[in-house]
Amino acid sequence: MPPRLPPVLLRLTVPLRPTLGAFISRRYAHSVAIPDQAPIVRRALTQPESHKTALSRKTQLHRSYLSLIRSSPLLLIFQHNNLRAVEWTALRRELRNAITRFASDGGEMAALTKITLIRSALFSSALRVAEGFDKAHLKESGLSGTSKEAYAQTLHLRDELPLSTLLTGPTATLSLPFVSPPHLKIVLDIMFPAKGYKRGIDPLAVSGLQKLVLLGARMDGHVAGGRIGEGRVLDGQQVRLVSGLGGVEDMRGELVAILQSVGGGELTRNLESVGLGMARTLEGRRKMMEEEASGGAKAE
Amino acid sequence: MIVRYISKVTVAFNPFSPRARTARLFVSLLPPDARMTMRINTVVLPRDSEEGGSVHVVFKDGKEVKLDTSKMGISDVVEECDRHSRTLQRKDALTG
Repeated sequence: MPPRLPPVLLRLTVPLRPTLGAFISRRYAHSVAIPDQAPIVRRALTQPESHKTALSRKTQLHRSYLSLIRSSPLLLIFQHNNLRAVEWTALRRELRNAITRFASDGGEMAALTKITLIRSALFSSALRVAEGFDKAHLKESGLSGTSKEAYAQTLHLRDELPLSTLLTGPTATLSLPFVSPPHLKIVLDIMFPAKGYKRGIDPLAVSGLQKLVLLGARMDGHVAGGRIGEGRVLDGQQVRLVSGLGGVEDMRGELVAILQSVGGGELTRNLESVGLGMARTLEGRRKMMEEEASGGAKAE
Repeated sequence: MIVRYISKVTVAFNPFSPRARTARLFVSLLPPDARMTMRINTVVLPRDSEEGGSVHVVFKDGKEVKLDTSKMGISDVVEECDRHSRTLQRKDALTG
């Protein structure tokens, strides 16, 4: 009777016990020098470094909010209470039309005046970076605004920034490309009228603007005052005060008129005399050099 | 929140105060067509005002509810308003 083993074992050619040949063919692990490798890149090279995943919506929103804050000299912050889509559309249209009608270059201004509905907590985080990170000139160090360092270094501003209390509930911003009181007045008349809304406005826009509440503004100064990057916070009343001012050219004219009327003629003359004196000296020098040159030509 | 029985709402808040949050959320709870059925007044207080926020609701039967929302949560305010709205609702249901 054959042994009662499964047929597989019967067919085995490899011995069950290790033989001498098997010992010889064994290999052991040994260290091999591996060439230096670059660290694994976790994001595309075109993306700046970010605290959260580079492709997440939060990162993208943070970046767009940061660029909005950095690029708008005047940012109105307001609350919107359950506006319908058609009301938003009507309001945006009315705003665009009003600005376009105002000036010859109104088309460009209207295109750059934008209403952005924001996510308040994210916007507040972007604002902290704009106020703390940018002002410390850390932007020049090559770190991006969305980086972990930017977050950590500006976290202490959470309760300090006066604008952060405005950023709760449903909020939106209206950004203007430059600080110009006449333009601001048009925007306020359409969006946040102090006394009754403008006549002839779309009824849908009227029902929309009844649901808006102006909370405050962030003003980055004007080139004329040399106060860019200041980030001043205004409340609603101050915004209305600013909108009541004239343009820069008007105010310069007014200032000169006041100086002349109160006997400041002497002052304006003195201020002018520096420039005049310099121009005269340069003119004299030019004439002298011309004469010298012509004299030289004669000698030849 | 039951808004059918409200005829007038006045909300005042100082946006620069962290205690204004509840009052601001209360305005945002009113539905989009609320202005057809009630009068809504929103008062923005000056920045240096001591008051955080307040809500004043007048119901259709004339009852007034005045709340200082500086130290209240939004759910408390809604509860206060709904308490009277529910009695009006019950009365409505019984009279048909």
